[in-house]
Amino acid sequence: MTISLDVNGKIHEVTESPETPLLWVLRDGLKLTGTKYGCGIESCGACTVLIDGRQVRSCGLTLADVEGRSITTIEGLSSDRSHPVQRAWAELDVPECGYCQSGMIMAVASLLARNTSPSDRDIDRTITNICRCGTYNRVRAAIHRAAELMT
Amino acid sequence: MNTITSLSRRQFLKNTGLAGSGLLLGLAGTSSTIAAESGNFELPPFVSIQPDGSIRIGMPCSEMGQGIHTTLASVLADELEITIDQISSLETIHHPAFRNEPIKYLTSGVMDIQMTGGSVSLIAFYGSFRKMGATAREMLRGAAAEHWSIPIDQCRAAAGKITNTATGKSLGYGELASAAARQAIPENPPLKSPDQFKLIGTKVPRVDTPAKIDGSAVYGTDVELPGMLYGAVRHCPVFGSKIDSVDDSAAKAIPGVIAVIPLENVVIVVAANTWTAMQGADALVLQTTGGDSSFSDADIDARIQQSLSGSQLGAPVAHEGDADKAISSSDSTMELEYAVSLQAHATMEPPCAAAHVTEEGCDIWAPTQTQDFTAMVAMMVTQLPAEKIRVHTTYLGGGFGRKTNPDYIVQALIAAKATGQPVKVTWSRTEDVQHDQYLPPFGVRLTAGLDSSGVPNALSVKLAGPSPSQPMVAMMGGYFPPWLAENGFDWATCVGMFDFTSQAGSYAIPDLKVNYIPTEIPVPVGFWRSIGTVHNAFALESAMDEIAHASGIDPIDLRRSLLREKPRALTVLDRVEQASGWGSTLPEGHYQGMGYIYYLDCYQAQVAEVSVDNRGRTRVHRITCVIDCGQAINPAIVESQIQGAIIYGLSGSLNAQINIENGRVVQGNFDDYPLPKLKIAPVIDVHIINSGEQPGGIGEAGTPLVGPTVANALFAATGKRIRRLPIRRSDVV
Repeated sequence: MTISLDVNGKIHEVTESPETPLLWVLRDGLKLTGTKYGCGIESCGACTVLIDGRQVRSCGLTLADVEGRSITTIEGLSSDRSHPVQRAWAELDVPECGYCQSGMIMAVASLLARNTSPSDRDIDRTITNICRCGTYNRVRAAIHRAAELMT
Repeated sequence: MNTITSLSRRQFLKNTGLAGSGLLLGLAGTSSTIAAESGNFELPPFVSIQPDGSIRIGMPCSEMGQGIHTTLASVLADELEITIDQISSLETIHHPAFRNEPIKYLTSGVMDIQMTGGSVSLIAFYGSFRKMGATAREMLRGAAAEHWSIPIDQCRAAAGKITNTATGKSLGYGELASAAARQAIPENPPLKSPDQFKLIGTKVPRVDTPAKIDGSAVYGTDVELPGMLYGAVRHCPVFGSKIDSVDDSAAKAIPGVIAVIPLENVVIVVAANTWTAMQGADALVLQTTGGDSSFSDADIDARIQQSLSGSQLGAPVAHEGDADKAISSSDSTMELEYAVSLQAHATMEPPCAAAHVTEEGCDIWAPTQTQDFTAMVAMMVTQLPAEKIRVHTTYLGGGFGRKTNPDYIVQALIAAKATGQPVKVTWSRTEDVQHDQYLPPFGVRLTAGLDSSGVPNALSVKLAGPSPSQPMVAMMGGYFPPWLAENGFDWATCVGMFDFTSQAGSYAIPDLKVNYIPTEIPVPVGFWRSIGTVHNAFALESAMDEIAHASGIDPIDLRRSLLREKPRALTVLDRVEQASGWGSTLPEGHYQGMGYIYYLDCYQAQVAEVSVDNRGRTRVHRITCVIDCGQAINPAIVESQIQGAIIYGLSGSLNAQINIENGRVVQGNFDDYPLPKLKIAPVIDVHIINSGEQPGGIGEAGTPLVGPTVANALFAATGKRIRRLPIRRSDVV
């Protein structure tokens, strides 16, 4: 049995069982390894992708849950790192180890798509991804910078 | 005098470029020279300039977020006179010439290995990478001088070209590379003076940022090989227990599970994908024997108390003057005791590695801090000789000391050998949290003798806890290394209280005694970002605050009086006082605390500004950090490393900890081992004082002062003294 999956604008026929978490379909099945495994319990946000434009932690959704939905991973955010969030991230050199940053960037892209000038409070409430390197000062600054770049 | 920095002398350069193939320059230590001559090893391309102009740089250090690839590349590029974007490739390379001399020194010669850790990468390679760049530049200039038949001083190097200053004509490095390879290697190429630096001291953009913002960076978890299988693991939950039997019937019933491989205290499940492997590991039923399944936190505390209170003297770490006599004749004394608890590394990338083992050779792809340990365990598992082992270092999704231990690499090797196919093993978060080598719990007891003005003039210290060097000891064959057993030194345990490498920044306390009483617990411990400074700085800087308050001396002034001979330290104190607004009016309900440390050639002070509500919830609003780290190669990277290390320190200081019950770890994921998130991250102001001295180590520097500065600020806020990390709500209400 195959399930068709719309990822980054392309339709993939995948054969994993329907209860497989989306995270592992993306990583091991489609080899889209920019989306990371961090906790498996929707706690850290390393696996964040966009589904129909909104941030979702892909470890907590099954393949069956997302059939027919439009999924965007870090690889599909832009083809050339030109998304305003990526541009702000580059400008401020946000990543250290970088492992959490795909998820962080996707979460911020989702936030800015609905709120073009978020307050620090909005950011605190929405961006709950864990960065063990502690890049938070730069993440906050880069979110504000990305908001500027979007206007 | 910086003892560690003076060690990093790699004087030997070797040119292995063949005519027509461009310039290839390598550092040749003793063993690599032999290897190159015997033909078994090719000298790695530390810097290679090809006729097409491409420039490749081989890196001795793993990139785990600390920015070392960018930093070392900048150092080399500055002397070579190229821009960063002219570098076409940068790769971590495993090679004997890349053994880490400061690590060797800090372990009394025991660990003569390639390793990224201890914040010593720049201390180890700053000098040699400058010299490498300067050497290549001079050989290129020499080749241009010959080409144009002009004196070499008319050949100016800049931006990857040599320009004839008389005619304005220029040749690219690629065009000159083959001729440069025929030049004699200059023994002492001129190094730039600091006013000539173009990259050193500037905010060069990180070379790894592009790959880390588009998902293309390859970490250990991301390695994909043709025909690869996927593994997960399940350890015996109780430390010290071993597998008696495994019921794998449920695991094997899962479609896609391919193999179940039981080892002594862990089972590897190999499957068609990671998710199936993890499901299989969860489905195993383990019967185990051994281990102490009644061991708990209370037993850890009891053992540490027994060490501190008993008659054991332990290892004499420091004896200067006569502390006992000085204390007994002091005007007054204070006896103080502090403790820190177990903490996990919790790197965002869990332990993982991929391996492929055939009779012809063994390849390992791993996020590792020690290429040599990786090769050693590969030789052990495969029985292949060293030259058939190839270590490929991926990006590390965080290291913090955890990835100095090759336990997870062994598993990938065994699974690959058993199945005959490439296997990538990835630990679940629960396996990671429950089978880490944790920050060791420690107790520190200090007795201070005070003079008539209340300033300490004698200090006697007992340290009790398990040595974080244990996993390294195990790797080196299970024997206690001489730095502990014979010399009484365990640098990783004692640093921050007494640092045998240098007393440049220590407090001027004439009578000092430090004894370490090794205290074993059946819980694995290891190097956690900033090692022994966690317990030592917490104890010493909290004690200084207690003494200052008891003596009616301002805490910064007390440090000034104990550091009066150390101008760099005094500058740091002056600056932190001013930058933090120390003593000025703060927002209502805000209080400050401070701390000072000298660590790995860096002088540093921090001030924390906190508030606490009536339910004991602490909010850290701001941390001001002033650091003199010598020459800051890249101030932006220094700033981000300090900020990150402070967040790391915050994680070990507030609320979260690892608890032991029934011989095993209680916590299992980020829900019960919560890490700081953006919402609680304070504003972190980093002020870098550029003294122009040799660069120190900044990867860990920011971590150890967070605990004591926050605790000292909470004392200012509540009058309650914190004597154990992490700080709990009940400590401040």
